Amino acid sequence: MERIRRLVLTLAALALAAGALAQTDVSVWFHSGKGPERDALAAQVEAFNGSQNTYRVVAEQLPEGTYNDQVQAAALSNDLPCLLDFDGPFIYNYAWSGFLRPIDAYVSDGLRADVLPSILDQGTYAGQLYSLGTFDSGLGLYANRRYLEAAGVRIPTGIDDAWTAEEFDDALARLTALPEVEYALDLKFNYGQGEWFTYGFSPILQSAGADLIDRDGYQNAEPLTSPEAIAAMERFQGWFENGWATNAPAGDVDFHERQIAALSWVGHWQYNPHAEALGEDLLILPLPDFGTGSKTGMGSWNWGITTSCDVPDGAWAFLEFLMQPDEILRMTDANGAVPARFSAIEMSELYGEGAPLELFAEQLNTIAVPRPQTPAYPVITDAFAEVIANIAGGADVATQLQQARQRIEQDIEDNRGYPTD
Amino acid sequence: MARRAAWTHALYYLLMTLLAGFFLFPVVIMLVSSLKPDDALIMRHMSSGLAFVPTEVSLQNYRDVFDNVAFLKALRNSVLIVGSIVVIGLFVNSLIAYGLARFRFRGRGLLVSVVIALIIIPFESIAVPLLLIVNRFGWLDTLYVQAIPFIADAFSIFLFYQFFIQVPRDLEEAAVVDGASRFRIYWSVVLPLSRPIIATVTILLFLRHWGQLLWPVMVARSVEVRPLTVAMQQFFGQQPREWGQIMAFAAMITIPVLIVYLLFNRWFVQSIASSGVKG
Repeated sequence: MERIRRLVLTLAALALAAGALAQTDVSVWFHSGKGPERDALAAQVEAFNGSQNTYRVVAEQLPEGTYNDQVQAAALSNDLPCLLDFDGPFIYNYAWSGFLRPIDAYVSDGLRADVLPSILDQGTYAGQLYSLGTFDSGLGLYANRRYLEAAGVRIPTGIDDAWTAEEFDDALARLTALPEVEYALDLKFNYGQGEWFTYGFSPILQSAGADLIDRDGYQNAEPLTSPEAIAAMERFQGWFENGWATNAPAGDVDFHERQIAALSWVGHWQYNPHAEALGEDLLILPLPDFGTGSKTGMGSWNWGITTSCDVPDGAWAFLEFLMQPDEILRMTDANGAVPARFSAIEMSELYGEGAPLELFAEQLNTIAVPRPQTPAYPVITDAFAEVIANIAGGADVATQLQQARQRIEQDIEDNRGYPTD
Repeated sequence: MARRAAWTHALYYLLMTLLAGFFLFPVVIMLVSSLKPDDALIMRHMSSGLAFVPTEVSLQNYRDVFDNVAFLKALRNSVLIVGSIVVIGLFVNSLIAYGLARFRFRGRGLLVSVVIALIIIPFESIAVPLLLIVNRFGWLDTLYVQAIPFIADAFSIFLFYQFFIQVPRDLEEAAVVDGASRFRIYWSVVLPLSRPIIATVTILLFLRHWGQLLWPVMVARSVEVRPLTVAMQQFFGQQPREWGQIMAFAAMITIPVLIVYLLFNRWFVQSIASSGVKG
């Protein structure tokens, strides 16, 4: 009897070992963001590896500050992993450069229908889907109800009811006049010149009827110098000239801790500190309507399968695992971002119906504008961020926009229009 | 007269103290901020004199660094990489320089000129071709790929060369008469006389490679071979920044630099005074 028991145990151990040996490795890179996000992804890798015997995810966390540089270097040396995550600004350039493979064939109709349109827009380049994110970002206005009421400013009730540009200017003037308020609008200039400026402030252009580039073919940046763009950016400059906003805030806490600003133009990531400091006085509002309706930004980290990957099915198996509603919530509970699927949003305590950040999910489903889906985006964002920094400092708006347009069009010309063939 | 001298002396010390304070400001802010556990507090104090005052003292940021980053592993990697570059580099570069300074051969002058010309080529301009080369060797994601390309260094060769041509030949000729080989002369006569330039090259190589970011970013992927500069990039991503941890990390990677400088300080100053090197 004992002999048989040993034999069975030995055979079971051998079978397990054989199973482990038969597993195919799938290399995965991801940015090591803040602690909870990093821990959530590490737990997901472990859960995936424990859930099946076909693939084994071998994950490497790379520091976020130099993540894109490391990806670029790895692409140069043909050393990319099978699956990697990357921030929104880089996807189109990666797709155009041939680092990524389309994933349309893997995405079922059911999954596609359940994913936020912003996630699909972000992942689409030249008509093909190259990436999926498990979460998206929300951008809007946080407001201090106490100050709005003291200044007699109307409180918008939803996207269709957003402040008009004139109303917004009037609100900024009244709020700045309050004795507790040093300046009405915190635009997070402490984040510094970079992607924030484009992500945060290009919705002004788009709401005014302008844009960063002509999206029909992505061959010129004419909309950037249109009368609408100039007027919108002159209005933006006026906020600084009138003392309603500052381009040199002392820190990150003027709206919530110090409460010397009445409004904060920022993303979902500031919800927790704002809610802790303001409690019931915290309001979350859509960005103002500058002419063609309120608009907002979108996009965050997303996943793509590389062309050099020799086990794309394995890479997709892991990505599909990450896209399950429970796994999406595991991640968004950790990083506070907007869940990528409607079914996950429904279960979310932050973004579900009646939840405090419901507006952000609604915006992503209705008014969010994707980043220009062109490989020229890194140049576009760099040029526009410089425009924002300079006009906030008092530079001539039309001249700045013209210079940015020239730089963008020069880049497109240098790359022969970024042909897709 | 004595009173005037005393005043001049006092003024001199006052000026020097102010200058020292000016240069110490960033270090003090770094150390003080690293002890404040609240990031919002650090940001608020940053625009006032309170940035220099440890209003709260806590080692929490240091604990968080150890929790969030494999700091000791990165420190070990940096020490191994930079230590290899410095130790092997001292030997290799001084040997090359000695050869150029002492041997007479056709093309020697051209070779010296080429070495000097190499100094002005920025690393950034050769980084990509170098990446492709080391990739063909299969060296990516290793510790040695971060050291080997920097062992032979044109500037170090130039510094040694400049020093060696000033060393009196008489000493070496006496050794030749005693039957010493060329290598023996280099090792037992020339190198012991070269402590100031060795100290200078050590400090310059150490400083340059301790803070090296571009190359490790290009070639180091895994945490096993990641040096401190890349490990620190973990804190530079999403807003809001965790300034307390950034300052604690920065404080901990600054300390080895100060130790190396203090160890070689005397010879370094001596070498600068004699050769006019401006690192």
